[in-house]
Amino acid sequence: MENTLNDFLGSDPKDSAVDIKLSIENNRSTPEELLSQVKRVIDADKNNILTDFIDY
Amino acid sequence: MSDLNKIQKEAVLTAQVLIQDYFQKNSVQEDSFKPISITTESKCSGWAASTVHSITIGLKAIAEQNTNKTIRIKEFDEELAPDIQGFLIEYETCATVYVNRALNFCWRRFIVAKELSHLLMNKMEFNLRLQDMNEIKTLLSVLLSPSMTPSTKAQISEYMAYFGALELLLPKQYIDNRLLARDAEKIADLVRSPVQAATLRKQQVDVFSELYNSFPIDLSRMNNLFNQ
Repeated sequence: MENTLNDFLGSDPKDSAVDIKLSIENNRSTPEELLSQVKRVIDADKNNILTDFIDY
Repeated sequence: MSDLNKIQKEAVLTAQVLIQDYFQKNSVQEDSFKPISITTESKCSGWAASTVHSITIGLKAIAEQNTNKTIRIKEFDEELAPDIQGFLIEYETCATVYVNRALNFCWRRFIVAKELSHLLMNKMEFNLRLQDMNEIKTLLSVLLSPSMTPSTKAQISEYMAYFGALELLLPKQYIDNRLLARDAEKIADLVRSPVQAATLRKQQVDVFSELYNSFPIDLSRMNNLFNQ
């Protein structure tokens, strides 16, 4: 059972996750669906398939 | 002072401390109304080229110094998280901001600025952080339901971070030089913010004035607030 953010993200215990903040696109989702989407993005990041944000 | 007022003040104050540093280190003219740079990579052309090449240190780098954390900013495809504009994950030694690539450029800047505002506020007050999954799900329920009122500091900070983002992209220095005398579309085009952000900033001018008046006179000493 995932009690903490760290458990949920599967983060390195040497560098614990201490906070999550979200900006939501629409309010038709559920908390569980949002967290599922967060996990998909995190997993994509771990697999190095995200791109860097560049300001210009 | 209520929690809402206190956190609102912290959001704008921490953003203004960052902006003061930005203006000083980049020698930005306060009446230039140039877009505030978040990153300083030089992969740009056209209108951006002359602006970004004059910036040596962006908001991200200054925030890294102030929070003592490495910050990554990543874009994700909408298909991974269609209901999320962006989010922040903060760790003990670093932080990552994720932003939805489907948003237009100005909205991506605003959402990134909003998540950076969270990071700055967290440095000031640890009670704004959430690690318990039940509390996180409750926060999401509040965000998803317009009928629910934010009651905890962490919940309130979700809304106040938007004020921090407004201060980062439409800072006091530009407002003092009459940026808001223009219409919202012109303002947004100048500073590369969403039109809605420029509109909100014009509507909230009295709120921001009151917040500025409550700041310590010597903001340069406020850099110490990040060393607490």
